[in-house]
Amino acid sequence: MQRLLLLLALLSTFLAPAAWAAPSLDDRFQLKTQTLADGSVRLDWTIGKGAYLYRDHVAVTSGAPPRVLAVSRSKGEIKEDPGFGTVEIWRGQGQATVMADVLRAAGSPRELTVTYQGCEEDSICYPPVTKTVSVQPAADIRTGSSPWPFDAPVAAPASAQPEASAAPAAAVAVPQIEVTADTGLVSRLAARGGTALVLLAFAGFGLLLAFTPCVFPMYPILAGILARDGEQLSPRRGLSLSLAYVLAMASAFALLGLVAAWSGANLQMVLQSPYAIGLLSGAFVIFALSMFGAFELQLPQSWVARLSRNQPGQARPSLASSAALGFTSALIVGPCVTAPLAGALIYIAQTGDLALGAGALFALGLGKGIPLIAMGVLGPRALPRAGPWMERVKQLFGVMFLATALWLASRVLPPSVTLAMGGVLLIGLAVALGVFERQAEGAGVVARAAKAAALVVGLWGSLLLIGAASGAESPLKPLEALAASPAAPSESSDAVAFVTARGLPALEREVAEAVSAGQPSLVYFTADWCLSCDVIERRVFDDPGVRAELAGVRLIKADVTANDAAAQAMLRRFAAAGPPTMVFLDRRAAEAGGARQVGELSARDFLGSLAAVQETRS
Amino acid sequence: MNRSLVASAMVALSLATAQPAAAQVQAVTPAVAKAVVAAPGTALAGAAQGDVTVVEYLDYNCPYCRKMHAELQGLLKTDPKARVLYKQWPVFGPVSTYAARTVLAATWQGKDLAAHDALITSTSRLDSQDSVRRRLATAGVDLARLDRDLTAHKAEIDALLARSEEEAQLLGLRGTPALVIGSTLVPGGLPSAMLQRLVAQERNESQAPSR
Repeated sequence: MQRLLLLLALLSTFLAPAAWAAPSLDDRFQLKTQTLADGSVRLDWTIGKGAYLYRDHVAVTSGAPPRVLAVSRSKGEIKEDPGFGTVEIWRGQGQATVMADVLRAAGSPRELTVTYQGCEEDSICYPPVTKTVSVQPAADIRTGSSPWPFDAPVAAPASAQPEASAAPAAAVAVPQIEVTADTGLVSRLAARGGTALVLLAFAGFGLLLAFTPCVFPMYPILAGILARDGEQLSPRRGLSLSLAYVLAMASAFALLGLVAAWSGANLQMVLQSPYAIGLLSGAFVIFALSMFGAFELQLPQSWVARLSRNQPGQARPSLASSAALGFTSALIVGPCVTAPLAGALIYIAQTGDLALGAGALFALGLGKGIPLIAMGVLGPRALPRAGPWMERVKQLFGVMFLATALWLASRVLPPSVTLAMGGVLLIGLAVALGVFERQAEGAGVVARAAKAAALVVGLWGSLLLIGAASGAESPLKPLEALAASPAAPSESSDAVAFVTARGLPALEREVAEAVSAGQPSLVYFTADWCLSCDVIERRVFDDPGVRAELAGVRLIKADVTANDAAAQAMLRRFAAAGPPTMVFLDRRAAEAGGARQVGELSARDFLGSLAAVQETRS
Repeated sequence: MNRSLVASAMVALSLATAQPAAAQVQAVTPAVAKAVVAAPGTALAGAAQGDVTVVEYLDYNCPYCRKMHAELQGLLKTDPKARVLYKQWPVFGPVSTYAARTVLAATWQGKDLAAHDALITSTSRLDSQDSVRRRLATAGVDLARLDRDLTAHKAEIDALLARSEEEAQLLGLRGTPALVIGSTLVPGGLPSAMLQRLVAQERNESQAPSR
């Protein structure tokens, strides 16, 4: 499982959109590319208030060695400058077109390199920005299809100037941070084969995700639906129920994709809010109550009636309720699969292509659902015939739902409260297992073993309650607080010594200081609202093994709480999708390949990544 | 430290009203501030034994760098202990890079400041190497000597340009001009009066024994 997680972490870095580039000016000059029906390519700039672009500095090249292509530019404003005479500039917006015949004459390139340069009025002039944009070949253009603009790595300012780039990097006084230059997997796929490959890749990615622990909560949910169907469950019925569940789940992901493409915001940030988690946790408690037989969980009768019209006589868990659960499940596993999902969402947000965004995430959801469908079809055959034990199974699922609710809530609840509730849950489970029921005379080995298990569960639940009352936090060591010697606790209360950076300059300075001190550094993207980060802090940075290894490593927190331009600049600089992300830099500030950690991780994963940058310290 | 924050905030505020799009004034750590002014490799304008050094990152074809020149002259006129270190960070293409190289090369004939003044006060765009050379000639730069030094000291000039570029990246500069005054980074131009205030503040800071 560890290896699989590692693979996933690796894949998720492939999804990160761009390699390191010069300070991006995308916030000031936004370039959009569009292939027109006649095959010509239109470049549109949206220019921030107070900024302007030099009309004559816009250049388009293609191929290697670069060949300058003729462009027609929209009219500009004449600016009189006492020191320069007249220049023509664009304010607000500018437009340049590369005609179809020019592209054809250049051999119909699939990529164009666009260079542009501008200033802020009365303030500052920027280095030229160089961007590589993709061109959709004329044959591929379907009417009404969206363009395919995605950002490719931007060249550093020097590389746009032949003379400066010829300069050897002699006497480098200050370091340059190197972010591992993964070209986006998705962009490469898209450049090669188009939409179908992207969708296929996302489906495959989803299938991989299905085997992470994150998706495990989905199995009991679906199994719960199937179990409620009782003995009448045929493979066909199993298929339709699980298909409804999976399709709804995929739709929920598609919705995320749609909104992400539309808003460009990181939705996971919203999903990390305590309110969203509280709501989901509450929903799970309700599911659990339904499992305990408190009520039948159903959509309004009118809906059920409408949905069941096609299959008269079936009033059992409807496809609709299965679908409803599938839809919510997608949101439940959301926080856990933040890493890959955020990468995907960020990518999609960048393309701004609604259909592709929705389609890609739908494919992801479907891929994730394939094992679930398999379970729906094959599951019932594996299950023995129904009996009173079915009620037990339902109750067990109820307990699992409650555990899931607790697991979700643990992100917002104090640890000792979580522990106490865990204790209550375990005692409840013990009761459900029949700990207080009379053991029949001459009961079999299995029954006796079950009783013993129930007793153990009940006892452990009691221990958790005692532990919580004494201030313990770990469910595995509930009596830690009682056992610890009075001198010890102060050690664990030391916070790991991070310096906090709230902007790109500060962040780069800290890295530079680490380099001059010959230290590797850890750049940890975090935010106050990032609940996964709390989990990491408890699970990783409180781990004594981790603390021991952190000596000699420059620990830098990149605080993106504000989610403003400064925070975005830091994220872009490290090609990070959002918190929690850990970037491990060696003592020359080069990122170790495959070491990046996105999302929640274990102390072991952390140490593995840390070792990658420490080994280079020879 | 608090005082400096307040002063920086004031500058930031007045900058924000003057230039809405300008980035904010930022703090520079002492180590970086020191590294930036260490071993400049070129002459400094202003007081020979100055106490506060203003570092400017500039391009000779950047209109606001030319405007900034007058503001810096204003500072040097009113403040007998201030110095200015010009850092060449050409961002306007090959001619700007050539201009930057000639100013650095003029160091070997002791004319670097004269060359700088000649190019930064140009009243037209430096659109060719010839226009750069014409300006330099008016400032009394020996062009034959300049060409020899451009070749002989290519490595040193390359290194200085590379260093400015690295520093710009490290400081997170987005363009020219940019100023570093002790522990304060001002991305963009600012008026002489503001400049004087920042220099005075830096002077107080460095003289106060305890921080």
